[in-house]
Amino acid sequence: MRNDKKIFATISLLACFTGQPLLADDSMTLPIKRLKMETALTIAQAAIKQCRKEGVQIAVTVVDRGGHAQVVLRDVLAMDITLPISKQKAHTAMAFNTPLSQLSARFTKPYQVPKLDGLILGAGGIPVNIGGNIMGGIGVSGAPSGVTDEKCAVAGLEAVREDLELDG
Amino acid sequence: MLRNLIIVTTLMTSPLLFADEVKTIDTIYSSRNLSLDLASKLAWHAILDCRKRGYSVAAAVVDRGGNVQALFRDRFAGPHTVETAIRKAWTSNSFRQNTGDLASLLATGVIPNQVQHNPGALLVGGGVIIQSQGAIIGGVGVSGAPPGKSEKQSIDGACARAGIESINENLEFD
Repeated sequence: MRNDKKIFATISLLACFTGQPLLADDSMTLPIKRLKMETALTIAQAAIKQCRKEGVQIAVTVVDRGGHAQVVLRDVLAMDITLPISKQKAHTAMAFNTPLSQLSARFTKPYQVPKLDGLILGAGGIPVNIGGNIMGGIGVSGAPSGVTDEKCAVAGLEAVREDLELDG
Repeated sequence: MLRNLIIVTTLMTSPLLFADEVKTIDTIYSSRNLSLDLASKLAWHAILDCRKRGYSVAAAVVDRGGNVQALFRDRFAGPHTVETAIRKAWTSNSFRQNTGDLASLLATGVIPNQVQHNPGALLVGGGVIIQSQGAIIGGVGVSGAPPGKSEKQSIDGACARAGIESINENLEFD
């Protein structure tokens, strides 16, 4: 009786490993869409332009899926601190696949995940997510309020969204 | 006779010089700076030049304060190229010399060995100063291309200079 149980457990375990693959696909590799540098530049320029309209000079960073900067633009009067902040916002938004304005209330206790170095939860970062493909993140820093920062980041994404969606 | 003439000339011009000096010392001063558009154009053309040579690189432009104004990383440039490009640009701007030249001076012992350990300094070819009407207004750094014949003739440096070339007219005449 006990043996039967053991055998059953073994069989179930084996079934777990030899059963259906996660992806019903013969391919051994997976193509991943990435932003061209030119696309990242268009995004950054549109963000700068929007924030100039709002009357503020900012820095914007566009990171890829690896969290590495693809394009950084800092307007002439934006302070040096806008560089690391915009990078960290872009990185955080990309990694969590969420606009940071929606994240700021999510982790409130000490020692929760975003207390890790290099992550920022203040508004101003959005992911570049087209049809479920996370291609990177956009971070803006320099405006007096994160709401404005985010507005500029969104303007950056809007400048290329249609083309990206058409690309599939 | 000539000596007298020199003395007289010096006397005549020195009050003017002095007045100028007082003015610049005692009051606020302005400096020329790259606009974001020009900084972007510079970095962009550095990238394009390296693309033409077949290399995917990162290019960074820093202002007088050493802070990044524009930074591009091309498709296949490795993750280290961003930081390296910035540090080259930072070094050329701060040391007021192209990093290729600094590297040679370091190799020949003119620059003390210790200098290469300065925080932030990177004395490797690929950083080029940006000059406008005689003043250094920033630096551009390129990273990602293989080494050239020497530090002075690095491919990174050539791409950086091509970037500057693309905005030369603005630098001289704007």
